[in-house]
Amino acid sequence: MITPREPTDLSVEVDLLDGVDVGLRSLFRRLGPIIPADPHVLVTMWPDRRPPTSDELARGIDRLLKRRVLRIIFLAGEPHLTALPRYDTASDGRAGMEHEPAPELVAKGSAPAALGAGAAAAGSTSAEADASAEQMQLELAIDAERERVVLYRVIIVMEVLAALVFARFLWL
Amino acid sequence: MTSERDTVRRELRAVASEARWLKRIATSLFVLEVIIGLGYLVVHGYVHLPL
Repeated sequence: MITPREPTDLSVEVDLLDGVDVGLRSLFRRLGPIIPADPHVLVTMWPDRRPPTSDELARGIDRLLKRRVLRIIFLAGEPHLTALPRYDTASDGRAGMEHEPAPELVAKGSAPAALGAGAAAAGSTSAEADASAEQMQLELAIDAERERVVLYRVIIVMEVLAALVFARFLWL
Repeated sequence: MTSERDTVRRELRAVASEARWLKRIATSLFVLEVIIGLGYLVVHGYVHLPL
């Protein structure tokens, strides 16, 4: 029987968040870039042998949303989760959340040089991720503006039709 | 990458501008219809203005 873990224990919280993080990335790899934002549904598809409870999963997802590695989008009115580009869903392990210099880069060679190379690599990767995120936001904004344009066009057509009916009622 | 982003930004500006114009037109049409409707009611005596 699965018993809920004590939420006040900080190390347990960190373990839980790591578990949710790894599980979610596995789900993204398996199901694609968009998954339902319903913890009850996600628990049923959980790749781990010991899935978190839906409460734990909801808590973990909230944390990841606050870290801005996940985002909620609405498809047909239903909330779905999508990973921002910074959230590397293509690799295994825990390094995907924040782009940190690879440990072997820091361990080999002289420490300052390795640190510099690692920082530069991390910086460029981070800049690319930022650029990609901005690009995605711009495309989303364009989609939203296009929807507004369509909506206003529909409103104008309706108003013109109403004006024609009105004119006929007044003068004909 | 930068030029691609500039293109997207330009496109966004163009679409947003079009949306703003359409909103102005829709609002103007609506206000005009309301004014004409109220005028009709007043002229035909359905509404008495306290003048």
